[in-house]
Amino acid sequence: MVHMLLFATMLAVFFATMYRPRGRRFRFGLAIWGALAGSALGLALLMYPFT
Amino acid sequence: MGQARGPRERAAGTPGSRPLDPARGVLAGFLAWLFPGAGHFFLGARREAVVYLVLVLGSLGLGLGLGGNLAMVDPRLPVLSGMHVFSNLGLGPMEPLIRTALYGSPAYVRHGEAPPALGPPPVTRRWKRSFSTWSGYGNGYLTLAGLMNLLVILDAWDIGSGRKRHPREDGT
Repeated sequence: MVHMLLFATMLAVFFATMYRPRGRRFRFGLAIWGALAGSALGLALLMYPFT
Repeated sequence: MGQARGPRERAAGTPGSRPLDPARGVLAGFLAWLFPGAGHFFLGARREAVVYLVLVLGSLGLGLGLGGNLAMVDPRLPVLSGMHVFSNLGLGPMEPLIRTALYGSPAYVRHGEAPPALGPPPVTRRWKRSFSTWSGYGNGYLTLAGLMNLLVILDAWDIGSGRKRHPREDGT
């Protein structure tokens, strides 16, 4: 879980830095982070439903 | 106050506002390949250079610390394993150095079987590292570091040659 969140954070910071100009990176990075972490948790829930 | 800007001001930050400079792009790309972030530093994008440096070296350090392995071309899966090796090569000149430090030689092709059948020393060392509890996560971080640096190289190339706006020119 920790590694998944760390991995998502690194990717989000990376793509926000590369694809958005200074000053408009935070929201884009947050969206990427949410998509990565959310989809991973959603997939985990589908494969092994949390009890 | 939402003042209308003149055509000269509007054109200032667009990629086509200055002539393309392929040589500068190649130099920036080469520097980025030489060391993560060096290309952006050369282009004056120091903030971005620091971010890329921290991300690539951080991911590399995590990968090595967690017992990750660099890829070798497996003759049974040449395309997939070759792509994995290519992603590692994105780390630039430090990749063969790390490979040599880990496995004793810059071995890129996996000949022979891993132990318990006897294999050559690099394969055996790689096999031993894979027993680390977090080795699988380490592999992921190592792959991520190489792939990120490949994109950083292309980004430096684009900015240097003038095909992409400089990070200082747009935004706030």
